[in-house]
Amino acid sequence: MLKNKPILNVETLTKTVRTNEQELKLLCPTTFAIYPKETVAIIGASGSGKSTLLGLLAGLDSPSSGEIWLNNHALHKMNEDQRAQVRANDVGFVYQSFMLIDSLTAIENIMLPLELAAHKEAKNLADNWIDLVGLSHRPDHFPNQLSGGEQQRVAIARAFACQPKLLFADEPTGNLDETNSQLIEDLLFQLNEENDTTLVIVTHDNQLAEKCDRIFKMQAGVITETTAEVKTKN
Amino acid sequence: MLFNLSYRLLKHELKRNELTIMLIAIILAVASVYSLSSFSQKMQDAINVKSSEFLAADGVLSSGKPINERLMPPTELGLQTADQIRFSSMVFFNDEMMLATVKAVDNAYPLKGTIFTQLDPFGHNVKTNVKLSPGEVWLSAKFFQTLSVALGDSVEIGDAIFKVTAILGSTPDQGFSPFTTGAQVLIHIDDVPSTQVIQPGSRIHYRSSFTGSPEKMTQYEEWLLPQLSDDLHRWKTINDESTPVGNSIKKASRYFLIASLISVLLAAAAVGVAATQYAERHFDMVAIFKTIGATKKQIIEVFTLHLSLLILVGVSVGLGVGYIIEWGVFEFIKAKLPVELQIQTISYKALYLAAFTGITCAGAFSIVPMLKLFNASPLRVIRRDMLSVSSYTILAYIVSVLSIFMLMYLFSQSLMISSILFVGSLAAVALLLAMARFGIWLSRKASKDRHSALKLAIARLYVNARSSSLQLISLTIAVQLFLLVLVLRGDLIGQWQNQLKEGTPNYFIVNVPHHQKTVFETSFSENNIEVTDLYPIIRGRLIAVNNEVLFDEVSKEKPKKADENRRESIGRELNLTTHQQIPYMNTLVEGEWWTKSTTDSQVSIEEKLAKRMKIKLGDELKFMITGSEINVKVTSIRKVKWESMTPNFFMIFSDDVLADFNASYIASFHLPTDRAADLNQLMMQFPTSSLIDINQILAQMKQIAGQASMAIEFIFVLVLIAGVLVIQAQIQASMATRKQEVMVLRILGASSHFISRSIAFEFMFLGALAGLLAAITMEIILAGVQILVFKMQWSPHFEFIILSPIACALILGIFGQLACSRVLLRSVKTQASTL
Ligand SMILES: Nc1ncnc2c1ncn2[C@@H]1O[C@H](COP(=O)(O)OP(=O)(O)O)[C@@H](O)[C@H]1O
Ligand SMILES: [Mg+2]
Repeated sequence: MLKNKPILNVETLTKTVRTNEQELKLLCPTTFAIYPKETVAIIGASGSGKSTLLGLLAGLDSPSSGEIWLNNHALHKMNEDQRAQVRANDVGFVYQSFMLIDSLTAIENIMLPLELAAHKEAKNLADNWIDLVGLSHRPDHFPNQLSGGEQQRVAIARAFACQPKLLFADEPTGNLDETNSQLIEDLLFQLNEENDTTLVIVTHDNQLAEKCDRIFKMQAGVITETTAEVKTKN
Repeated sequence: MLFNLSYRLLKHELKRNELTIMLIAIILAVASVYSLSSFSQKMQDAINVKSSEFLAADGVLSSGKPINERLMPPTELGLQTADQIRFSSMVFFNDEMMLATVKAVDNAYPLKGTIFTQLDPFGHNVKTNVKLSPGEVWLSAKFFQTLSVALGDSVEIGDAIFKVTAILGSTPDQGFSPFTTGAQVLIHIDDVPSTQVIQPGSRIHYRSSFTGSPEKMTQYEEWLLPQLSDDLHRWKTINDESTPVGNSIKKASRYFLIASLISVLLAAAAVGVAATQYAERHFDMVAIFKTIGATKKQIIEVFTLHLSLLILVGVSVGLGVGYIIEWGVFEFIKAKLPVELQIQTISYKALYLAAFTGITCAGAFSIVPMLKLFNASPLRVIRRDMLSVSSYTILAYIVSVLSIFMLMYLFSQSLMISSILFVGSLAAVALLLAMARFGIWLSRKASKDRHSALKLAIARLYVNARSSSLQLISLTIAVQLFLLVLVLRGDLIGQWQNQLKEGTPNYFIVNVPHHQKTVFETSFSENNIEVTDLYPIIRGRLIAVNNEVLFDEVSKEKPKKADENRRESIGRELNLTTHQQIPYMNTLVEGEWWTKSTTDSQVSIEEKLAKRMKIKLGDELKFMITGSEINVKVTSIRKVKWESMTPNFFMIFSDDVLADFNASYIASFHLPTDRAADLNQLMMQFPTSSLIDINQILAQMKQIAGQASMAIEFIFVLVLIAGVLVIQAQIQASMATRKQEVMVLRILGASSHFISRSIAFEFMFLGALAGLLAAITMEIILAGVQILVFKMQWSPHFEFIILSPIACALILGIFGQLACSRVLLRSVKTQASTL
């Protein structure tokens, strides 16, 4: 595979926060690159900084130092609105706690990013996506009327709806039982494959991690690539 | 278009009851403003109609000289006018005569109100629409009794002869003065020249009455007043406090205004609390929007639209509800209303005012929460505790607060009233902020080794000191304003009821001669009529103060230079009396009332006269009474309620002073109207005395007080609803933030009993504190309002310092418990679904 141009390029990225006179290092200097269509797993103990990293990569937060290039955009130089614009075009996000809008129906949740992007075919596209995640029979249900697995499908449909280049998933199966976890994982990988998306997924599940092209391990704010290590062990 | 998105969000959220409190708050604000201003306008109109009947017009210009044509209202104002001439004259019949107060009226008389006639002397009063024609005279019952005139006879007044065509019962503008000298007579104004009574030097009283729409009357008044001269003209309107009802009307409308303002304030506070909750409810939503790529501009667009739509719904529903409330209230009280009210008409002024209030309230109070909302960080999706900060908070707070003040001013049109309430509330907020912190801190100290649920409650208050004190403030303000309305309502209605209670004297008898005093007393008591307020009356002139002889303007002596500071005499004779106790409706301002058997020749003087004459306690006054001089010492100064329906005096002596004089007597008594015929018999024995029937005036006053009381009860209920809504909004808001905590506590194994008890304790504690602070701060505002606005005396209400905390603790405890059990129920469900 030819990977000459990374879709995500991270240069000596750090994040520190101040809490009560104390400097807290959440992320030590980190450098890596991710190429189009790759699938990347980030593993690590709880509190090691995985979500913090994902938040930075998706431009939800701004770094303390270092550079983040996402699809040739210099995220680290952008203000919040410009980052939002990048997210609207290039980034999808799936969270552990689904993060659906409680007062919008399943189909309306999926339409949301399309509407924000002023897409003319929002309704049709959303209909198509809800079909793809297998919920075409329940478009008008509110999130609280859906099971956890169903909610996460809606979230996945919403994440893919704008056809992002990059998809971040922060422990997408963390709140689900085993059967549902399996279904969601399969769906995620399948859609990723079909849409030529790059997938960055945070997980505790080693089996899931092994399905990915690359594996990063996070430990107290320090990230190391352990793809070879993990894969040879098994 | 993002409009669709906003609309969809709103539609779903409304259906899912997520915006109910905010919506109800707006609806209440709008509905109460609409119904209040429309209701008060219509009520005021009705009361004005009633009270204009006391003047027989909306305004009266009177003078001792014929009123100049150029003072008459310009024809383009379209006012109706009626002219009247009053004078005293003898009425002759056969060879007898009797002094009369003659009222010469034109065909337009009366512009307002009705004339009552009687079918036989001392019979019932009957309304009449018959106009008096030239050549006719209507005589009051007294003449029929004293002169033995009969209907159809001819009597002489001055040089003219009149035919008696009716027994005069009462005229709307007869007023109330127990000192009037003669009985009333009505003749036509065209007959005045032929009587020849108007001679140089004779005392004639000219009156021109006007009526028209309030705006036109005001226009005329503004044009007229600068042209009047103080010693020649008097201008009187229904708003004058000196009329029997004027004072009640003024007080009622001021109360109405204050209470309306308070209900607006409360509704605004409810909107404020709800708006904060509205923003909090949407923080996560905004965060999610932002992660999906929404820019701030889009967020602002979506949520401004969303809020605007919500306000639009609230305002429209509010107007509808306001109209229904108004209609319902009218339906309910229709039967009791003596006047037709224009119920069907929609008051556009009220409509605009209400819509404007709703928009301003919701808008102004949403600025701060909305700014925070727009700034919600997308990071919230990863870290739930991310707070939102806004850089313009202070400015936004100022804008909110100022717009509330503007609203208050717009509503009351009175800078003073809005300022008192506004500054009072602001000061209360500042005071409360400090006290709340201190109180919460203190109680934490005190609760160290108490029951653990209580301890948890107080610990929670302490941890959330900032939001707790905000809660405390809004609760306190709500309770405080409610108490204010409650106290004022009690004071006003109590005052009226006191003035007009059953058994209030409805007749006065005047000119009972000295030698008939005992006969009078025994014959009345034999007839089971209780005589009250028996006063001896003798006329006299004040001639010196501290041996300084008063300079008499009438004598036209030119005062010498050195004499310019000399006191002027009062210029007329006064009605003097004696009394053992301080008369009912009088209050002592300075000095002390004498003991029953004093022999020190004391006098009590009316406050304003004392001021005008520069008379102080301890001064020696010299009076000239029927040719002899008497000396008395000023030992007290009184405030007199001139509008009360009792004889009022400038000077009251101790009993010993007039002992040697032959005074005549005045007395009042209550007689049920169905016994009026008995009076005829009784009065036969007192041919020189006259009777003044004030049943008509009392009935009118009762109607007016009744209407005003009803209006006051109505607004009281509205304020009550607004207050409850604030409390409910506050509890809901704090419950929303508490859901998480409740869930954690449950997971940690706390029993729901323990949780709900600790929350109930927390609310009870908050309620008690709010109730106490409210009772204290209410007194401060109350003092301001009563002294500055109502010009009443202020006395503290200690009972509220105890009652208010107890009541508030109970109410909040119950409300909190209810809200809490709902949250608990839901948390059990959520837990079940996540596990
Ligand atoms: N803004 C912040 N302020 C203080 N501490 C933070 C902040 N953001 C993250 N942390 C802390 O940094 C650590 C890493 O958090 P996170 O990235 O959520 O870990 P993970 O997702 O790997 O479980 C945690 O201990 C968290 O409490
Ligand atoms: Mg995490």
